[in-house]
Amino acid sequence: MCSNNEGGLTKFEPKPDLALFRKCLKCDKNSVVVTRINDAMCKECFVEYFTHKFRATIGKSKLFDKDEVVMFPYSSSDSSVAMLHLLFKGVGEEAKKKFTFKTICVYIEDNYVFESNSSTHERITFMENVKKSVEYSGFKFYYSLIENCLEPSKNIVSDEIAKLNLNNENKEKFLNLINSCKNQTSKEELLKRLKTQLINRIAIELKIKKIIFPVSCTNLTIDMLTNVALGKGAHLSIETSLEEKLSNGLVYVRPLRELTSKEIAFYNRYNNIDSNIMAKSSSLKNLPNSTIYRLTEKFINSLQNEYPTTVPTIFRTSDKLTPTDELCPEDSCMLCELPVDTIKKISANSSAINDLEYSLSISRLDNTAIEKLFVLKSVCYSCSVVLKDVGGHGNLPQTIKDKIKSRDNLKDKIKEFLIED
Amino acid sequence: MPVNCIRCNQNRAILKRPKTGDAMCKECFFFVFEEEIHKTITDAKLFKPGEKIGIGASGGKDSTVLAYVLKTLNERYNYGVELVLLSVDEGITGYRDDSLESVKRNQIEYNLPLKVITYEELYGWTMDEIVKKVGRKNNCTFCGVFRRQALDRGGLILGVNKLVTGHNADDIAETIFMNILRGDIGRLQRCTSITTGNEGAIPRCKPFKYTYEKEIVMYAYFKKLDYFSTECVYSPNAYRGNARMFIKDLEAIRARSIIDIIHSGEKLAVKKDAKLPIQGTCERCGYISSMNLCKACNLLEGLNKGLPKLGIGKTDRLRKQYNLSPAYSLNSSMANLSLKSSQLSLNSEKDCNCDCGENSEKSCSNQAKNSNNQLNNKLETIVDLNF
Repeated sequence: MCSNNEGGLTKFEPKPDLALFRKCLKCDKNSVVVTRINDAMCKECFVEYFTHKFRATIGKSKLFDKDEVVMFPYSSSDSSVAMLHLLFKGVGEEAKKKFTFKTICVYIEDNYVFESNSSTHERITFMENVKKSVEYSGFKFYYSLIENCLEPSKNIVSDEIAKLNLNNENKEKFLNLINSCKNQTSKEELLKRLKTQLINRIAIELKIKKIIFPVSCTNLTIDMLTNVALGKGAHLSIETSLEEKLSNGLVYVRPLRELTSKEIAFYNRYNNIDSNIMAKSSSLKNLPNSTIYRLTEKFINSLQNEYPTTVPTIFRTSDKLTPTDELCPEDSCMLCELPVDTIKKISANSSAINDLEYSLSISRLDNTAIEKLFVLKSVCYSCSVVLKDVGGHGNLPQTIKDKIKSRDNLKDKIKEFLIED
Repeated sequence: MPVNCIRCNQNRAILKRPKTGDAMCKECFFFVFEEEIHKTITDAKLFKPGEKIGIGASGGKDSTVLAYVLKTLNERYNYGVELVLLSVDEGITGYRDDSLESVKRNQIEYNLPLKVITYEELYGWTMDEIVKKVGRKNNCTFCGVFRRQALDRGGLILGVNKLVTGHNADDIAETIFMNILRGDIGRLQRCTSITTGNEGAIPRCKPFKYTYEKEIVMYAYFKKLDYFSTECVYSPNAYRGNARMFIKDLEAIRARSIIDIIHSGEKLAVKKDAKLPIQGTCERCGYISSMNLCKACNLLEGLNKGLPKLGIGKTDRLRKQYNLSPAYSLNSSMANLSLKSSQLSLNSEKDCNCDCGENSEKSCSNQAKNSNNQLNNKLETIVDLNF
C-alpha cells in the first residue's frame, strides 16, 4: 500500500570510529561516547549529562513531596542498577541539591523460580549476592518472591531473606499456573501482570503510595509497540506516561523514561557498576522470535541501529496520545488493573471486537462454544486473550478470584438500581 | 486424518481459517468470507441505494477479489448500487501494462464498466519517465502521491459517490505501525476509520478493513480468480518493508495479532492540545492539503523545472534556494499571511518566478498557458468518454 510521504526516517550512515577523532561537545577533552544521534562527549561530561537528565525529569514536574517515601522495585537489571546508583548519588554528600524524598527498595526474586533443578539454597545464595551488590546504596531493602503473588495472606514481603517462605509448595503452585498457559506470549504477559500486582500489594502493605519504575526510553518504546500488537492500544498512553495514577490510589512514576538503554549501559560502565547486573534478560528463556515482546524488541533494536531517530520518534508519539473517552474508569480489568476497553459504543457498530465476535459466531455454528471465546467480563480485551490461554482459572491468585466475587456481590446489591441497556 | 468442517460438519475441511484457526470446507469458507464483508458494509453503512461506487482496480489480488465480492453481494443483497472499475495507469512498463490486462479481462467477465486514467494525461509524466529523472530511490513518493490524486480525479470524471479500495486488515495494521514509527499523529488517528475523506474529497471506504490478506489469497485461489501478482519493477519502499515484515512475523507468532492491532488502533486517542495539521486546499489545484501547495503540485513543479528533489522531504530549504514561492503549513497561516502578500508583490514585479529567467517572461507565461490548455483539453476528452 502506498500513501503520501512514503519515506520513513532518515537512515544513519555511520562513520568509522566516530568518537575517536572528536573533541567533547562541552569541554576540550577527547570524546569517548556518541549520544543523542551525533553528540560526542567525554566520560565526565556524559555522566553529568545523564545525571542531569534524570534529575531534571524528577525535578521538572515536582513529582515527590518532601520526606515522601517512594518504593523502588529493584530487579538487578541494567536500568535498575543505573537508577539505584542515581538515587544513591542524589542523596549523597556530593549532590548539589539532594533529593528530599526517601527511597525504599524491594527485590522480587523471579530468576530461579523456573529452574526446576535448582535448590532453595542456590536461590538464597543468589539473593544474598544481590543484597551484597546493593549494600553500598544504604537504602532499606525488602525482599519477596514472585510466587508470593498467589499468597492470599499479607505475608508477602520481608526485610530479611531468611524469613521468606521458600517452601516448594508455593513454587509448584505458581509453576502450575504459568505452565498451564498454552501460549508463550500469554505466559510472558501473565507473568508481567502478576508481578505488577505483587508490587502493588507490597506497596500497600508497606503503606507507600508512589512506586518508581526504572523503564528506559528504549524499553518504553518496545512496551508500546508490544501493547499495540497485543490489542492494548487503549492503555498505551497510560502505561507510558511519566506519572500514572492507578484506580487503587497508587501512583507509578517512570523517571528513567527519557534515557535510552544505550546511555544506561554507558552510565553503568563508566561508574563500574556493571557487575551488579544479575537479572537474566528473560526469566522465561524465550528465544528472539518466540513471543511478541521478544520479536518487538528485536524489531526496535535493529531499526534503531539503522535509523537512530526511531526510539525518540516513537517516544514522542506516545506523549501525544491520551486514554480514549470510551474507557470506563470504574470498571478495571482484574488482571492488568487498567480500565476495561471492551464497552461498545452504540455509534461504533463497526469495530474490531464486533468483527471478531461475528467471525467466531459465523464460523462455529455451535453456540455454546462461542460463549467462551467472547471477551470476558471485567477483563480488558488483551487480558481476555491471556486468560483464555490459561488452562483452568482455579490456579489464578485468590486475590483475583476474590475480586470477581466482590464485584459480583456489589453489583447484586445495587442491581435493582441499574438500568440495563 | 481427515478433519470435517467445523461449520457444516459434513464436508471435509480443506483449509484452516487464518483469522479464527477453524478448519473449514471450501463452500463454508466462501460463505463466511462473503458474509463477513457484507456485515462490515452494513454495519458501517458504507453504501446507499442509487449510489455510484468506484472500485479502485489494480489487477492485484485485493482489488480483484473486491470487485468480484462486491458484484456478488450487490446482486445477492440488493444494495442497489452501480459499480464501476477505476484503474490508474502509472506508466510502468512490465508491471502496470500487464496488470491492466487482467483488469480488462475481469471487466469483461464481471461485465462492469472500466475507466483507466493515466499519469501521462493527468500530469504529463509516466512513472518510467519520472524514474529516469529521479532515479530508483524515492520514486515511490511520486507514485504514491500521484495515485492518490489520480483516483480522486478519475472518480470525479466518472461522477462516483464513493471510492472503495482493496486495503485489507494487514495493510491497516501495517499503516498503524508506520504512523507510530514516523510519529504521524494526524494519520494515526485517521488510518483506522473505515471511511475517510468525508470533507471535500470523494469518500473512500475499505470494505476489507477486517479481512486478513491470507484469506483474500485463499478466496482468490479457490475461486480461481484471474489476478496479477508481480512486485512493482521499481524498488519497493525499504522503510515500509520493515513494518510489513514485522506484521508477518507477528502473525506467525499469534495469528490474531492483526485484528488485535486494529483494535488497538481504534482505541488510540490523540491529546486535544496536540498540534495537528490543518486540512485545507492546495492553492494551485484545489486538492485537499495541509500545506498551501499540495504534495503533488510540489513534486510536479520539481519535475517540470528539472529539480526532481524539490518535493521530497523538507521542501522549504530547496524552494528558497531556487527562489520559488514558499510552501508553508496551513497551521502557521497567520505568520505567513504577510509573507504571502510580500511574495505576491514580488511575483507581480517579475510576473513569473520560475527558473527560466526574467528576460524570457513572455515565453514563460506562454508556456504556462499552453500547458494549461493541454491539460484542459485532456480533461475534456476524458469527460467525453462515455460508457
